[in-house]
Amino acid sequence: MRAEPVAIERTRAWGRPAGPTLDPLRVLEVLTGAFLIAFLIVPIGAIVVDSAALIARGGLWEFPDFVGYLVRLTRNSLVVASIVTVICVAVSLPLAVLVGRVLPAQRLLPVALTLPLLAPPFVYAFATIILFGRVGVITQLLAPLGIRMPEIYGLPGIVVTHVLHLIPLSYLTIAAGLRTVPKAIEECAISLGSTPMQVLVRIVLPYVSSYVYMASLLVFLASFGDVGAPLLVGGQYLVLPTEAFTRFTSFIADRRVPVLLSSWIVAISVVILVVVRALMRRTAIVHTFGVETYTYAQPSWRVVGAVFCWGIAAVLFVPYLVIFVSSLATVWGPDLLPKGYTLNHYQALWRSVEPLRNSLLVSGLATPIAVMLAVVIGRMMRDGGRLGAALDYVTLLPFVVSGVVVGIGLVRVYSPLDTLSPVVPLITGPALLVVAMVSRRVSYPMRVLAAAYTRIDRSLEESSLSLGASPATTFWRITLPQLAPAIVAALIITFIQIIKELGATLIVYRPGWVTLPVQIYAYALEGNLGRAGAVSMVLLAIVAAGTAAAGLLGRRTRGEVAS
Amino acid sequence: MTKIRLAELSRAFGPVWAVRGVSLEVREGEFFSLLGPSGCGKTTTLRMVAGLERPTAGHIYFGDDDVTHTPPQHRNVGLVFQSYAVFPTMSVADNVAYGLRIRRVPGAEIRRRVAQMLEIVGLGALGARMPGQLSGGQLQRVALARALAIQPRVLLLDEPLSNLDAKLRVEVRAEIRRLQRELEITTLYVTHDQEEALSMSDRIGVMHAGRLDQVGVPDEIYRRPATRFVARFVGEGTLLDGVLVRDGARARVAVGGFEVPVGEVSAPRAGAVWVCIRPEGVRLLDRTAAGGIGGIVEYVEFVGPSLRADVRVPGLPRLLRLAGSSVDLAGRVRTGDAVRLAVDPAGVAVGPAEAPEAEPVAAGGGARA
Ligand SMILES: Nc1ncnc2c1ncn2[C@@H]1O[C@H](COP(=O)(O)OP(=O)(O)OP(=O)(O)O)[C@@H](O)[C@H]1O
Ligand SMILES: [Mg+2]
Repeated sequence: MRAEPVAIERTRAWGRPAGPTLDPLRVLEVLTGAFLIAFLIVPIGAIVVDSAALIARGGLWEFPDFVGYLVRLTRNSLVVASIVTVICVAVSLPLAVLVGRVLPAQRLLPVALTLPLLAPPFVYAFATIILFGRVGVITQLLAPLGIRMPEIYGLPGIVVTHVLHLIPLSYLTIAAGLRTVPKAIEECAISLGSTPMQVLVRIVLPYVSSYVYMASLLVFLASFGDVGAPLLVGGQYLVLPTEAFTRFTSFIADRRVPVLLSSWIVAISVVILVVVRALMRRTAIVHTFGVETYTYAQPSWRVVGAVFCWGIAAVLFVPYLVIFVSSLATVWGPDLLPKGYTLNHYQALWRSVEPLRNSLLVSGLATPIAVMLAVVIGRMMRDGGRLGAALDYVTLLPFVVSGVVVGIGLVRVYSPLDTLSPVVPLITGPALLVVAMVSRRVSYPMRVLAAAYTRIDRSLEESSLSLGASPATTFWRITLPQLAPAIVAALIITFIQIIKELGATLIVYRPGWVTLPVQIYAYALEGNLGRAGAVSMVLLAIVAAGTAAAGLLGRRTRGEVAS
Repeated sequence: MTKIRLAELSRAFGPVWAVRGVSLEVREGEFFSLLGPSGCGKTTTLRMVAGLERPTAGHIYFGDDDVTHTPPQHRNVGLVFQSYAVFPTMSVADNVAYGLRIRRVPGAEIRRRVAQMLEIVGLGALGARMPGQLSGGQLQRVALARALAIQPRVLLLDEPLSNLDAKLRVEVRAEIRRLQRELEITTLYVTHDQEEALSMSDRIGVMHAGRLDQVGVPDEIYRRPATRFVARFVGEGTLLDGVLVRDGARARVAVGGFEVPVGEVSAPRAGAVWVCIRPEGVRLLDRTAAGGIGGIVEYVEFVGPSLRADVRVPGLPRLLRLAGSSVDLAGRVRTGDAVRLAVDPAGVAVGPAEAPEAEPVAAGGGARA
């Protein structure tokens, strides 16, 4: 029997070389931590604390029938998000299977199906109006057949808009899951005598269930938190984010109500996030990426699949067509087609380029900041154990709650500074807009960089250390060059997400700082669909250019890895 | 030239002790191998020496300096990984120059040293290549050149040959050994391959479940294993449990109804022992010879120059392994043949029975799942 090591003496913490050394990485980490605390934890925390204090004081009774109002709003919000989630997943599950397993040769299909992600949801909202409104194109087409469209303003309008906009999101998520199922698994099942349908239901579906949960989560939260579509096509159907928004921005209303609503949104979003993540963890299968996938070659499936998939793709494309036409139309309605065509709407844009300038400026400033934060946070998440896990949740928070809530939190905490000095409004104005964009969207570059960090071989960094390089030098010379492709991808993706952001912008922006999304929203609200269409086309052009760049880049870097 | 000394070095990962109380000394200029099965704590030990892993307890000395708390970048060690870890974004020459640039060595001197190092590892012409354009063996040489370029106090290698094919492995093995001798650099080499350890090392430390079971020169490790585990892990043979019987100067081990003669027995008194009969301790007798042990050949394996056979001997719980030149044994052992064997005490190792072999033990004392 070997002896136990006698009296194990705990080793001291890492000794540092003598002298005061300022590790630049530490400085970056501290700055990043400060940013997250100041602009993420404090604003959202302040809302929650305010509400808790109000409730504790019994302040709820100051608002007659507040509980009934809250229940109604909550029910409306949950109903919208649930219906949208069910429809989206129900459509995208067969869609993903058909595209990935039956029609893998149709390369254009996945592209066509993800087009709607380019546009922000409120752009889809006014396409919905043009199509299904009281004098909408489809309403008129159906009228002679004796079919009367139900009133679109309200639940149907929101659901149609969200479904059209969010199908790609759930499709992409589930399709990513399907790509992780190795061919051999399906081949084995088939060779054991299962029919293709049995294989899909019994083998493939359980395999990708965590991706289906993920898709549901993303769609649910996006629909639950959206403010643009309900504002434009919601009519009298009130949901939580829109109420928080309208009550926060109207001068007469009590500001305590939107704060209460916001913290309620935070609570619901976090509960859903935690539950779904637990579900995902229980069902997650450790995946090998880059596997070859199986193809189901039944001719009947191919025909049905092609009709179904291209049908959906066509439906998803219609809103773009509508927006494009409306941007060129003099007046559209009450006839089926526009009365005439004009370039006026675009010429008007030319006369006031501020929104474009503002959007580019804000996105251009916020994007590099967000990506830089993501680079630092990604490293902390990889090396940081429990702190890293906490960071994961913290940065997810502003992503899962409505943009409106992020905006309300920031304004609630930082607008009191306005009165301090003439300099400060500059900080709380445009600067706060930039900060809001960073907080709201930082989780996008973070996902990209977290993935990139896991692909770096740790022994490279360890070799550099052993060769005498400090951690900071190692990061600069070894880690960063390998992150470079991911950083560029993150820049583009983040830019696209930020330039589309409406919810937080609507709350935070100051006069003179109208952005493209705000302008589209304003035009659409006043019924000026031509102008709204023209601005949308500009926004779409920017986003499409970015997406194309990201696509090209992705292909190039993948190619490098493969060679 | 620096000696490395580990004193009661331990490392726990949560409840699991990866390394427990390892003490050893690698002498100046010595090539020392840590040998052991997967998961026994070799890499963890090496990483602590490199400063990449923080010891839970114990101390590490380079010469007389206690480096236990020195961060890796101040230890001046040369480190070579199984995965090569050649920086993919730099050319071969830049890789080798990396440590020198960090040390702010003048440019001309860097160029001279890089050229010299590449020459030494036989990559003289490839300085401008990017790592993506090199083979595994070449990458390993770049890693070695890069580690040696900084003139490290000690050289640490973690399974550097595992990713190479069998032939290249033997080649690079000889080359590493030659370089090490020329540079007289103290070297700690981690491997799970006993052949590698036996053929390259001045001395070997055999690790098992986080502990050092035995330290010795290769011959000693092979011929006089200190524990049952070392006997089983290093070399081949038939490992049996029995009872040592002393009979004047001669000793035998009784295994079932069968007796194994053993040579000079140092450790055990009479009592429960393990005994390991190496193939070279088993001799094939003529079929007509008197005496010896009778058995039936159960399995024959032909490996080019040599031939191995496993023989079932009535009364023995395990097969007895026999090995010899394939010229000698050809035709004499075939599956199913009845053979007669003799056991030579010189090819038999023996040691006192131990408690059942422990798997890596959890800190709480329970076995790990
Ligand atoms: N970072 C870590 N976290 C938790 N456990 C670890 C970690 N690193 C090593 N271990 C555990 O410590 C033990 C020793 O690991 P180590 O890598 O040192 O083994 P090894 O002898 O190098 O094995 P191999 O031959 O497979 O490389 C193993 O049980 C391993 O699971
Ligand atoms: Mg190892």
